[in-house]
Amino acid sequence: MARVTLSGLPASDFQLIIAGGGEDATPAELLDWVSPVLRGVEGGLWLSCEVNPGGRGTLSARMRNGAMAPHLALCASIPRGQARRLRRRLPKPAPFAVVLLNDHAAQVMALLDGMAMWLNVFEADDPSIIPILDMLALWRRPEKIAAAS
Amino acid sequence: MQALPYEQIIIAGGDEDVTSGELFEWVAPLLAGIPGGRWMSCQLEPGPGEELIAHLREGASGAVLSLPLGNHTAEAREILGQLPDAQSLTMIMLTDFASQAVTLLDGIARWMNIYELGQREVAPLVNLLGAIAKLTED
Repeated sequence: MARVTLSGLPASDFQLIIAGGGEDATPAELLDWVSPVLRGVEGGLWLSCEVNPGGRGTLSARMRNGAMAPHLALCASIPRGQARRLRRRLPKPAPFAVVLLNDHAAQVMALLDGMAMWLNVFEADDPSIIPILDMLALWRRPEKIAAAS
Repeated sequence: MQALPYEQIIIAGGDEDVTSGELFEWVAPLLAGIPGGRWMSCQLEPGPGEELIAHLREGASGAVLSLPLGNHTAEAREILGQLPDAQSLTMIMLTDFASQAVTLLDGIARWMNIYELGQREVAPLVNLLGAIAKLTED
């Protein structure tokens, strides 16, 4: 069960797409590729996150929230423990891109398919995405992360 | 050739499984996200009798204009005759994000081509679209 309700995104009505980058496509490039579709989501109900390796076992997360215009990017460091939990859930370690949205997921999948190293889509109530939702919840509490790092 | 303020035109054919409306709806979120709404689309579908209907959308406005081609039907049919077989047709003119539009259409369209708007092959189509655009101004 999804534990986190993110700003502007009802937890029961969204899909989460995780796409692995590689040498040929960085998470930023994956998100740039789908950015026009995200901009076209009515009401801007989406959130994206680029995850890259950070120092000493941490991950760095760069998040954008579609509900905000102009889009505000938040950069945060994901603590080592949380980074480990995330890595265990994914087929390949960072870098990867995460897109959470309530509409047009099929179009985003179609675009990412072919340029991502791997790709998964999850429904909101899939328990396996809880660590990812915890990471995205950084958007809601950046001050706590800043205090922890 | 008529001058249309776009750089590329994507022509996608529909069939009994995928109508021109469904082709358009599939790429609609992408088009909606193009900054400044710099795109135009035209769906050609059979109407009653021998007539063809053109459904026009321009990115800057959300309106759909459906026009029976009337005097232009013969011209439109001649153009369609030069394209691979299709029951209906969606044309999308745009300047940016053509690669994404092609990626999305690939797989659901019966066939698809992308042209630069200045190419000679698409001159008849561009002229027809220019004539339709002129009708909407009048």
